[in-house]
Amino acid sequence: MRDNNGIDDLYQDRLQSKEASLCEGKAEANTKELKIESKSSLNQKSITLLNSSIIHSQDLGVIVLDSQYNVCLWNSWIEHLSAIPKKDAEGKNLKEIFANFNSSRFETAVENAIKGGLSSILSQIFNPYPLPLYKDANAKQKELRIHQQINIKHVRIEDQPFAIVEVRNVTATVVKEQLLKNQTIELKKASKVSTIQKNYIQSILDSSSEAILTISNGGAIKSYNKSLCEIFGLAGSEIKGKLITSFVPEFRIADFQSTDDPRILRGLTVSEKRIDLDVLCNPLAGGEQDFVVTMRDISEQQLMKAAVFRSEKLAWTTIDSIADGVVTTDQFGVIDLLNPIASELLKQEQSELIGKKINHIFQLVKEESNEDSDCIVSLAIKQKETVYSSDDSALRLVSSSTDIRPNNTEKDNGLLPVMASASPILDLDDQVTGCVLVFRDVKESRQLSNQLTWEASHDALTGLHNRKSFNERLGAIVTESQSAALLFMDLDRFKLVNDTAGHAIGDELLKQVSRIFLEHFRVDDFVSRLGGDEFAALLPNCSLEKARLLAQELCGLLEKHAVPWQDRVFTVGVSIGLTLVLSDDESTSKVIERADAACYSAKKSGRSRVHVFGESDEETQYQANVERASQISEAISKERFVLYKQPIVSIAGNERKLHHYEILIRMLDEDNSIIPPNDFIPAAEQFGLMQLVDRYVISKVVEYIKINRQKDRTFSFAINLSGASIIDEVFSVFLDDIVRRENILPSDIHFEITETAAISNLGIARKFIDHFHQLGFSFALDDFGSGMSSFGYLKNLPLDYIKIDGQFIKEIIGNETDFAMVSSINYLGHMMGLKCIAEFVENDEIMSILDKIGVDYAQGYGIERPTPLFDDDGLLEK
Amino acid sequence: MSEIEFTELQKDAVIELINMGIGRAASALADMISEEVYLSVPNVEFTDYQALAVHLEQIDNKEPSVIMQQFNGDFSGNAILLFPESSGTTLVRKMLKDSVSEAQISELEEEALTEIGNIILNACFGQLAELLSTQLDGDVPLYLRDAVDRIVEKGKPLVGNDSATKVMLLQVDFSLLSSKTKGFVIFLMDVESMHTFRDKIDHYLKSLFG
Repeated sequence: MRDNNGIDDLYQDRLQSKEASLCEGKAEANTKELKIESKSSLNQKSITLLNSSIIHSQDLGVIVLDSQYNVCLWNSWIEHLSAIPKKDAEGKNLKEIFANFNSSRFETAVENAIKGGLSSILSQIFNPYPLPLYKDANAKQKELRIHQQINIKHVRIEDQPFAIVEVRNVTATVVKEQLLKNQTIELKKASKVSTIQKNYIQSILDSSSEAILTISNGGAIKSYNKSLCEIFGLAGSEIKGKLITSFVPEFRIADFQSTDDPRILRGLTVSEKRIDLDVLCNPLAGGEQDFVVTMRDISEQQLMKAAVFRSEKLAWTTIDSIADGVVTTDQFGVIDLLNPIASELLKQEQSELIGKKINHIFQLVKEESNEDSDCIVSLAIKQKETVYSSDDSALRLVSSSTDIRPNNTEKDNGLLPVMASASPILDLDDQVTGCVLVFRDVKESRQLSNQLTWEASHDALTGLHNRKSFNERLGAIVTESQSAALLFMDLDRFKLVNDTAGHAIGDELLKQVSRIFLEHFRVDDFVSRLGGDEFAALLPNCSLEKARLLAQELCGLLEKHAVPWQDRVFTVGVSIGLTLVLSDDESTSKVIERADAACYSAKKSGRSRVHVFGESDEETQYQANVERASQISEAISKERFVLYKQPIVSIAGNERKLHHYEILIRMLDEDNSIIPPNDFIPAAEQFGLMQLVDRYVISKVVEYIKINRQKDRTFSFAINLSGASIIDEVFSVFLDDIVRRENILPSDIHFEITETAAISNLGIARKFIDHFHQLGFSFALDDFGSGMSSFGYLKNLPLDYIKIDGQFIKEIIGNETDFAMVSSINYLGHMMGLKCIAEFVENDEIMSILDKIGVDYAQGYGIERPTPLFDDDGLLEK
Repeated sequence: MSEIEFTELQKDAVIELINMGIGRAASALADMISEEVYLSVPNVEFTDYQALAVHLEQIDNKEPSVIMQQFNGDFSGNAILLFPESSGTTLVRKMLKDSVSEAQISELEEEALTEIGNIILNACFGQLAELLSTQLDGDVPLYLRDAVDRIVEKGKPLVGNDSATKVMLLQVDFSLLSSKTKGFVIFLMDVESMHTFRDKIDHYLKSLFG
């Protein structure tokens, strides 16, 4: 701490001399030359004055502080800038002078100078404004100090330390430097921005898949982007300065000057691969003679283009060469393309069709009705799926203008039967962009198919509907409970024509008859040939009386119709069964049964007749037969038959020696009671079940023979064969087969056939008999004399026995006629080398008459009643 | 005059004294920039004046920045603070927290660097004077940037031409704002001053050890 009073005193005493010496000392630093010179030429006072004026005229603040830190010099510069007059400053320390003076650095420096003798420099940067000095009053008000650079020097005068404070105003320098600095910063920023921009642009360029480069007008590359390296496989270092022609040999700047369009040039990569480039070259903006070149590698694109071209070409070559018409449209149905077949089918040139709306060219219609169908192209586009035309589609050209070729001579009113499909064309986003229509001329195939359909439902010979078709139509009528009359028509004497005149005439006859049928019946009537000489006619909405009338007229027509053949004339009649389809008919079979029964009745009651079902008992019998027939079928499947045997014995000498057994069949009903043959054989015959019955009998007898093979058996079995069986080739095969397989010998069995069976189809019967006769089996003609027996048959058939019909035998006693008949048959038989058998021998008296006549064998209740073939053990009784 | 040699003990004393002074400088600098500043002098070396230029060229063969300050007292001479290459500029800018890195040093920056040198050197002078019980007056510091040989030449008039003239070379490590840099303090004294300096050291050592 200082003693202020002491310092003041000292200061008061020594101020004058101190200022002088101080100035002298000060001059040492600044005006050394002057001082030296002045020593020699000026007196002390002058020097003091001079120094004082120098100090005050310096562009420099000077403050001198004494050892007590009080101001002892305050030059006019300081006076001016501090706005504190010298007199107010001198003798005071700085804190007293400047109320707000606060700089420890300054104070330390002053202390160092005064106490330590050390000089200091206070740089502007670290100590910008230690003293409150201002440029002017305005600045002072705003507290804007001048920038200061201060030197504090130590000086010692008369052993007293002083500190000289020199203050420089460096504001100008600071401002200048700040300016420079800002400029530098701006420049740097600018340079940085420019670098960023450059990088930015380069990265934009590098991210382009196109090669982008600048070249001089001589073609040397000046800058480039990454894609250039990638496209050509170049390393970055190789590129700058190279000629563009080293990668793109055909590149000429001149070629681009007249056009803005890209050129396709061939490029060469580092690995000598040839690539296709899309090249653009434009002068670079900015006036220099440089060009910017962009190149796109379109090799892949070119390849794809080629591939697309190829596949398109392939597609259209295919489409052009196929037999189907193909038309493509846009999504509005406007024709884009079409193939030659399409053009041909649409009867217009391709060029005329393109660009037209497809439904202005043709429409799809139904062939039969000529009704418009839906436009399948519109449907396909709308539904986004393939649409097919209906099966009976036809194409009708829209003849809206004259450019359709005239003279449509086709008789099918211009319709072309087609099969067509339309498929939408979808793009990658599943959006419809068009449609492909494919259509084909199906005139021939549809004709063929129509024919097949027709053939399937018609009889080839007569052109009438066939049985299948008839069944369907009848089915429909029954199902829909329509009212109709059904006629079953069976030709009379047709067989005779066929047999005598041959099938050609038979067929011709059938055709003529069919024509008569068609002409006679109404348009809506449904006439069919069911097979052979059987026909049917369904007359919808027809009353019974009308139907009867039609049928009767038909009988008359046919009676009058004569078919000449050689020198003969054939006429055929027709037997017609008539029934109505009733509303309670549930199935066609009932209706058919009725018509069949009526027809049967008509036939039975003399030919060329019309019989209406229900108008006689015949039908009840018929109905009974139908039921019986189903019983028989069931009995066959369940083996509900029993076989009986009845012995045939020799008559001569009254020995009555067993010759053979006739096998008889009985059916069992549900109660196991026996149904005699007469109750079921006619039904079996009528419904074609006799072959099955005969097979059953044969199988059982064969079984019996096998079981009893070991026994000593001297007799054979006579098996009855129905007419149906002997004309059935399948049956013949069956019999042949079982005989061979089971080793059945002619001594085991022989057969009885009836006269009617034999003559109903003489040719085939003859074949059958011949065949088995040759194998050694014997045949007996049963019931001889009962029907219209012809001795002629006896002559023609290889027979062994005649069985004289029982009606002549059982009443032979006292009946001359019967006796004569039997005698003559027996005589005749013997004449032909046949053995005769008499049936129905009911007593010994008859037996003795027969013996007298000379009949060989006898059979009947008088000898022995029939007994079951199998006993309970399945063995022969007895 | 005969060769002046410094014993290890004397050298240690010098290092200790200078470190104490430089410690004061560090706190003064820290006050100025409100940032911690560490300064230390790890070693002292005495070398022939003749060899100084060569020696300094090894540190910086271009144009180092130096702050030169004359001192007068019982021993006198020139003290030089040398910043090799641009470490002086870097130091100033670090202290100013100025990120602008410009090789060129501005006038104001030169002044700032001069003040830093002034503080360090004044601290050395003050410490030496105090502990060696002598008076050292320090002149105003000068900033110079020049080739090594010319700097050495500038210090020469005060040193004289005696071949026995020794130079005291102290390495100063600066550490501030997590960066380190190196400077060198060189005391150029004539033979007589160097002798006096050594005597003062000895005297100091005696006062310490009785």
